[in-house]
Amino acid sequence: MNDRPRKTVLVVDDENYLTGIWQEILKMIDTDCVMADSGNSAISVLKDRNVDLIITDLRMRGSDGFVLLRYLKNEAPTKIPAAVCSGFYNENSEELLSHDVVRVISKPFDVREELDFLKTFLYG
Amino acid sequence: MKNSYLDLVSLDEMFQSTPSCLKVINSRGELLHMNPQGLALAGAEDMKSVFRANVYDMLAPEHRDNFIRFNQQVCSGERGSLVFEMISLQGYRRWMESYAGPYRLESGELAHIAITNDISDRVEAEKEIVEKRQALVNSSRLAVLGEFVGGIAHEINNPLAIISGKLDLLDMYLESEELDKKTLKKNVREVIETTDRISKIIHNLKTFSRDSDKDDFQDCCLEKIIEELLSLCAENLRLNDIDITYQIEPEIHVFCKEVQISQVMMNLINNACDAVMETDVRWIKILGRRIGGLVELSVSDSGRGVPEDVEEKIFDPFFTTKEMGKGTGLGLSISSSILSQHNGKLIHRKDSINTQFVLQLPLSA
Repeated sequence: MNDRPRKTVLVVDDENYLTGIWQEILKMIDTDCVMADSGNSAISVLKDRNVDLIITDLRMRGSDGFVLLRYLKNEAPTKIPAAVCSGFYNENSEELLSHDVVRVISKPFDVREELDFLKTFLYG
Repeated sequence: MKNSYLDLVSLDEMFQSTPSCLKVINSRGELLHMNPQGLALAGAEDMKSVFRANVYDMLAPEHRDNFIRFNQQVCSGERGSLVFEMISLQGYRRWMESYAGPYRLESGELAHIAITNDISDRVEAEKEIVEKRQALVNSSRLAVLGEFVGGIAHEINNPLAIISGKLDLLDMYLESEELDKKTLKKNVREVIETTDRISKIIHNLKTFSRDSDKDDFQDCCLEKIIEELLSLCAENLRLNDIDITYQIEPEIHVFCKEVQISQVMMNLINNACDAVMETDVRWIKILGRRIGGLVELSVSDSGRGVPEDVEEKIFDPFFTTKEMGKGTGLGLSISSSILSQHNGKLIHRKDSINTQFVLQLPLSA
C-alpha cells in the first residue's frame, strides 16, 4: 500500500459526524480526505486542489449537491468522478440520470461495502 | 253558559296533561308534587310512592352539587334554568332541561316549581356533532402532517446513517483490535448524542399525531411550541430551498391546547410553503409578540399573496386554490374554528406588504 501514489477524496456533507465517518474509512486505506459542507464550498475546494473522487450528499443546508454536479458536468476544467451519498435518491432517480455519477450510496450505508468500493475504485 | 277560562279549563287537568314534567320541590330537595309525565320520566309508579323522596338522589353524581346550588337559589326567590343528567329509579340516565322559579307553599315556605323536559336526544345529537368535528380536526391534522413526511424521513435518516456508520466502524476496530478507549468513548458519545436527535423528532411526531380531543387547556410556552413544530417542518422547507426564520419574544405563555395551536401553525406553514414555491425568492417568517393583553403570532411569506377575488372565501370549508389532491380545503376553516375555541382569532392581514396570517390569542393569566 505504501509505494502507491496517495490519493485524495473530497467528501461533501453538512453533517459533521458523517464526514467524520468518511474520514475514518479513508484513513483505513491511507487516503487523504478533504471536506466541504455545501455544493459551493466544494467548488471552492476543487479550484484549489486536485482530487481523485468526490463523495457528495445531495440535500444540504446552503447550496445542495446538484450545484456541484452541474459544475462538474458543465464547468469543471477536468473530469472528476463523483459518487452520491443520499437518503433520498437511488441510481434510478430521474434527477441523477443526466449526471455522470460513478456510484449512488444510500444512507444509511454499510461501511465495509463502501470501503471495498473505495479500495477498488481508487487503487484497482 | 260557561264563559270564564276557569270554567273551560281545569288547572288540575292542565297539570296532569301537560307533556312536560311539572314538579314542586322544597329547599331540601324533597319532592312535593309531580305530574304523570314527570313520574314517567322518574320511573315512579305514582305520586304516593315518591312523595317527599329526595330528588337529589336521582341526580347523576357529577351534577348533584350544581343542582343543589340551583335549588337553593330558586328557593330563595330566583328564577333560572339548568341542564343536568338524572338517573331514573330503574337506572336509566336522561338529560333534562329545567326552567324553574320560586313557588310559595301554603306554609309560607318558598319552594321550587319547574317545567322540565327530556333533552337526551338533542344532547346526544350535539355530542355526535362534536365528536365528528373532532374527528375531522384530527384527520385534517394528520393530512397536513403528511405534507411534511418526506422531510421528517430525511431528518431521521441522516442521524440513522451516522449511528449505523459509527457502529460499523466500532465493529471493524474491535475485529482488528485497534480500538483504544479514547476512540471508543468518542464514538459512543456521538452515537448517544445522535440517538437523542432521533428521539426528539419521534417525540414531537408522537405528540403532534395523537388525538387531541381529550386534551386540557394548559399554560404553554409559545417559543417551545414553535421550536417543536419546526423540528417536524423545517427539513421539508430546507429541501425545497425555503428559508424559514422565527422570532418569538421570550416568556410568552398562552393558555391553549398545544397540539391544536401547532396544527394551526402547521397549516399556515404548509400554505406558505405552497405559495412560495411559485416564486424565486422563498422565505417564511414567524413572529410572536405581545400586543396589549393579546399574543400575536404571525406567519408571513414571500409568495404572491391571496388573490382578491378569493379573499372572502379562504376560510370557507372545502375551499381551496390548490391543485386536486394537494389540499383538503379544510385547513383554514378548521384553523379558524380552533382559534375561536381558544377565544382567539385567525386573521388574514390584507394591509401587509407580504402574505400574512395572524393568530391572536389571549395571554395566559
